Amino acid sequence: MNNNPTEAERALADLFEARKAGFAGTPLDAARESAFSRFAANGLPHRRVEAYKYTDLRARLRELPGAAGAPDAAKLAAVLADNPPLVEGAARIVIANGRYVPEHSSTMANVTVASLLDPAADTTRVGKLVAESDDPLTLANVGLFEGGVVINVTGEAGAPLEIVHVSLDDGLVMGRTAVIVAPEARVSVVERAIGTAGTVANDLTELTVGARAKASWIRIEAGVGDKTVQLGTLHTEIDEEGALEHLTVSTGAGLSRNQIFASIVGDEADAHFRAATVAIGKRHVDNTMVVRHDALNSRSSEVLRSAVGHGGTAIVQGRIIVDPGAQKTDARMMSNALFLDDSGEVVNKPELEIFADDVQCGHGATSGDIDEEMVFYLRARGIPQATARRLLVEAFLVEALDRVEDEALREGLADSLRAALDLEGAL
Amino acid sequence: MLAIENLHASVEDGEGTREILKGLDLEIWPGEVHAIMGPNGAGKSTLGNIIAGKDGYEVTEGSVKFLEEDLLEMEPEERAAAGIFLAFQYPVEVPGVATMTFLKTALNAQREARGEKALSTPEFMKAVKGAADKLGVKQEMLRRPINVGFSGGEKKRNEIMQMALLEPKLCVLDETDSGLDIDALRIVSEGVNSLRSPERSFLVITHYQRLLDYIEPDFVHVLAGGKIVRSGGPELAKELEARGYAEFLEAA
Repeated sequence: MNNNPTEAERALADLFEARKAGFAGTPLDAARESAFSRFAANGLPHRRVEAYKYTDLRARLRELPGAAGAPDAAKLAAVLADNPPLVEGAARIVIANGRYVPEHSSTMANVTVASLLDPAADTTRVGKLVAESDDPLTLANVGLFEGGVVINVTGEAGAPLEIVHVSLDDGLVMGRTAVIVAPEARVSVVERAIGTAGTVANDLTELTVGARAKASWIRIEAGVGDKTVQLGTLHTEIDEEGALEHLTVSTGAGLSRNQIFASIVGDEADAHFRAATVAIGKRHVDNTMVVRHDALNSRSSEVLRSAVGHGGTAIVQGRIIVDPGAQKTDARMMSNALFLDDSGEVVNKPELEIFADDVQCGHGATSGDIDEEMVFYLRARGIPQATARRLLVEAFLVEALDRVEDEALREGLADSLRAALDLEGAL
Repeated sequence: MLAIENLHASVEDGEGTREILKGLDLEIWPGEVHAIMGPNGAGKSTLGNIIAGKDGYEVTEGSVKFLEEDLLEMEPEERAAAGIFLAFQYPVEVPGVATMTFLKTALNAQREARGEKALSTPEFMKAVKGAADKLGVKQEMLRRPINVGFSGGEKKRNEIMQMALLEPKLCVLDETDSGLDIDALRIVSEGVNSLRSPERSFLVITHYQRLLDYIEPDFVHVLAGGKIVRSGGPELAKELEARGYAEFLEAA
């Protein structure tokens, strides 16, 4: 037991009691109590917990804001109007202050959406991917989520889905999402966090990619403020010949941790993860990934690009697990960091756990300054020094976007990375 | 156009300060093509780098004037905008920056520095196409990141294509012939020759006489031991090819 809870941990325990009083008898309720008690046993993870060694949440989250209430309709409408969809024609699913807002959400053929709190919703497959998890952020969300959706993709989704997490009131928010992509189905998802600067968000997503299904998922945490906390966890499972393309773009939050727990459970499946991170000033961005191969002939890759400066920190933890019998696995991980000045920090922690003998696994990490030979080459052609450095940093980051097929979206993401580089006159 | 007087320059390396140029004099007038030849280690590339403004060299004595301005006081980008172009011996690969983006940024930055209007996209495309066609640079190459995956010959062609596009006043070619086969040498030389004009000058730095069969110089200088030890006409290059640099190495 956690005998000496912090103020934040006591607040979370109180919040759970309040939530529990409101449980409406949905099938998910049973899992919530056990998850929260497992979370409470250890409390917020700290630096002596290996997975949180570089992101000590107990120290960083001594106090938490109160849980956000139901969203104000007028405020929400205004925020949504200010933030139109990034992809034209996308169907939107809005989760505001952790709660699904059907009035602002739309859907399309082959996609059904239901509230997790609706007793009539079919939630039989929700929770399966997190049932065994002992990750504290996952357990906290399962215990405490205030709402969310289950999305079933049953065929080819005709347009991208945009899942928008809106936080309006500087509160604590724990939205939950489950997406089930049926065999042979196809979907592309853009997940965005839009929030007020004092938000502390801990969202949870489960994504099931069925046999021969294809999913692409882009998570965007764009600039809000250095007081914002964005914690996000994805649990995903990819079945036979299924494919997942995932990208995380982080530029804004003071404390950000993006966790991915991926299991490849079917033969011949693919899972590819990219991340572009800008951590400038009082920003701490942690990308933690665990990719497990438990099937034949499967492939995974992780490429992370981070630019740090003005005291910013980027953490990259990547673990690849190849289970016994997962022969012919091809798993690769590469983390590249660029220092904009001499005040940033980058930590790379790769781990390989390989229990099969016929596999190809590799990891690599580089970190360095902007290449002065390249800067001189550009200057010798008349490009001013600041512009030259800028072009090179952008190019370095934008390479992480090279698997984004929608050109307009890729440009939009590149723009948000460029804007992040403007913080504090970083270059 | 370019006036170098008594130039002394040194570099810092692991072992301390080493003087490379030891009193170099050179004067280039508009329209002239000068060749600088010399043995390895004579300071040929140092000269090119100092003209372009590369960091890492310290000028301890002497002056370099370009169009009456003190070149040594100018930033590399200011030199480029003033009309200096260095064709690199080893063109740098720049992953992630498309060649087209680079060319447009460079051309418009130079125009802005000179107080000229930026080119519109159609004007720019036309200018690039003209320069690229002349050097046999394919459109597909322009979409690729700068020099990434280019062969040695393609990189050199890309250099001369940039020269044709940027229309400099003084072109410094640093061992442009190195790594070129005979066909690439011809294409590159034709590109250079087509840019010769009464207003534009060239400084051709080379180890071998071969390049000068294609780009015929008005003057040939021998650089050895950090200074010009002999100057003459094109016939000097032939003489060097026959006799080598041995006598100059001894003299230096």
